[in-house]
Amino acid sequence: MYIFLLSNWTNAVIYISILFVISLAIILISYIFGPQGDKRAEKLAPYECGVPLLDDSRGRFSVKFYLIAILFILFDIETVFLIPWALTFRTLGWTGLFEVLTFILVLGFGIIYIWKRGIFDWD
Amino acid sequence: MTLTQQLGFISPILYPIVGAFSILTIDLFVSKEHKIKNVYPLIALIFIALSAFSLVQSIQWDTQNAVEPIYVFSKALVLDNLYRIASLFILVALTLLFLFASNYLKHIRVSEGEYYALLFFAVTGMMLMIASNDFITLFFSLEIMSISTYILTGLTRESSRTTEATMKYFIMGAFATSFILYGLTLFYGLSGTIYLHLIAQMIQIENQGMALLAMTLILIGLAFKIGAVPFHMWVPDVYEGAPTAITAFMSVTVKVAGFSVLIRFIWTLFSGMPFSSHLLLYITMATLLIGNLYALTQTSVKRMLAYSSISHTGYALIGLTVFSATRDPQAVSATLYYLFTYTFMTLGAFLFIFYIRTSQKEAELYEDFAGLATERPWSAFAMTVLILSLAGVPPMGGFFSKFYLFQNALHHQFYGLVIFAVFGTMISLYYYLKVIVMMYMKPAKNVGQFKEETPYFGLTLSMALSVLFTVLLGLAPTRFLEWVSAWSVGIIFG
Repeated sequence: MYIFLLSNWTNAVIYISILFVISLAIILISYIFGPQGDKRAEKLAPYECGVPLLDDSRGRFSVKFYLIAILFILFDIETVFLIPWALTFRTLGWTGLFEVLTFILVLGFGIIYIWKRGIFDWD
Repeated sequence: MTLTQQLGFISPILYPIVGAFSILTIDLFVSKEHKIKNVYPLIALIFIALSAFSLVQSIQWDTQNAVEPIYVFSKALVLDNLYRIASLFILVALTLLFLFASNYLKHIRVSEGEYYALLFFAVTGMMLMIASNDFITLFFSLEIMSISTYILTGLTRESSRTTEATMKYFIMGAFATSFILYGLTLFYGLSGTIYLHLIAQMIQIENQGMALLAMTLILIGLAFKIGAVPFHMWVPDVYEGAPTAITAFMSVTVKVAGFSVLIRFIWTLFSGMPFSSHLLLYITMATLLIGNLYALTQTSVKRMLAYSSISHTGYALIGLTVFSATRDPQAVSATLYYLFTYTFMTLGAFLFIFYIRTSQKEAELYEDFAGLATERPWSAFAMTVLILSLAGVPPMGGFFSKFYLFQNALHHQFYGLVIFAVFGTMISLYYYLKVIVMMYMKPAKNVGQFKEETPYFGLTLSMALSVLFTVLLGLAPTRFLEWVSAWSVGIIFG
């Protein structure tokens, strides 16, 4: 005899089990009852806008895209840190303002540094 | 206390930051060949001197009447003697590196401002890490130090080996940091607080198994940083691939910082736990074994020094093993003294490799040092002193620090461990003396292959200072012992 213990995780366990069962069921049913037989190699080849590949997709692209992505992450995280301050700045008062200003200044120095180093010169 | 007062207390940490920003700003607005670049080392050394002076002034010498350490910024940082002493070791290593930076940077394709700034930021991270009292400060200062060091490893892009070393260090380092984070999170879950001084006061943590797991995870991460076995795999590749000046800096300072954090954790969290001394004992023995054995078969001197660094970590860990079992402060004093002599020995040894250039290429293999004594007798003598100190031969500092460690361990009846360590020292004599044999007893490959002119001015000074202190620490150790014995004054009260 099983004893069914109601715990905090019960809902999660039931949910995940149903998730797995339904996903597996869908895949299995489509495999069993789907169309069989047409196994030409062309069916599995990659295509591009409905026609076979026009050129090699392993082209090189500039590393500057990567740098811009990294910069986005950094300043996005800065924004994430500024939002809690923006919500509570009255409680934090003048001291809080100066601390946040220091934070912004440090990051501002960072962007001035990389600006002068030529990260935005794409030629 | 007011904000300005607190900032005054952490001024040793602020000076490197200000130094870094000032050098970066100057570097931004001058052209590439501007003469002011020769002044950078002076500016850097001024900031280091300010920071070191402030640290020395605040060391509390009175070991009899223990005082409460200074807590700043809502107890996020604890400023006690351990922080001051360890930060001084790090600043000394940084000074020796900056003495020759001006000429070095002219020869490599690195922006000067970034070199100085990265080194300053790494040192700031280390000092913050040693001073941290809560988990969050520890974590982010660990990251500041680690990421600055990863970048420094790959800064010169000299060869594919350098890039490989950087990638290995970065990926494995990030992984190790995640272990530390997991351990810290578990400790928070067990105790409900992130402050080390509060957890130190908790009598008992209920779930001992979970606490053991948390402690093991933190030990794994910290053992990675100091290069202990079985988390040592990165050390040979990274030390070999990184530019030698950076290897010299990194091998010394990261180790001192990692050990300091380990000391703090053992003091506050790990001592009361079961199996903590067992874990440290196994790690120590494995480190001694692997470090000494693997160095025997190396053909590259740089790699041999990397494995010897691992074995030195093992020796230093003996003191921590004894401490975690007995809580005797003298064991940690012995470890700190060992780290002090290790700083000068290893820094000098790596600087020596950096110094000897055969036909404009760094001398790396043992054969490249053959016949050095006939052409450059003083350099060979300097390296001999450093090598003998590394091996633990009297009257050099290496002997006395080992002696002090073993004496303390024997006093607490760790006989097996000391015998193990002595066997390790005997094995290490082979690969250390091989260098001396190569320098003095083998003929040079080509006559005059060691160019007469000093490649980097100031490098001679750095090497001379390392050798001087190595000998000094062996001949007149009492003054320095006094320094390191003060570490326990004001450490977080349990």
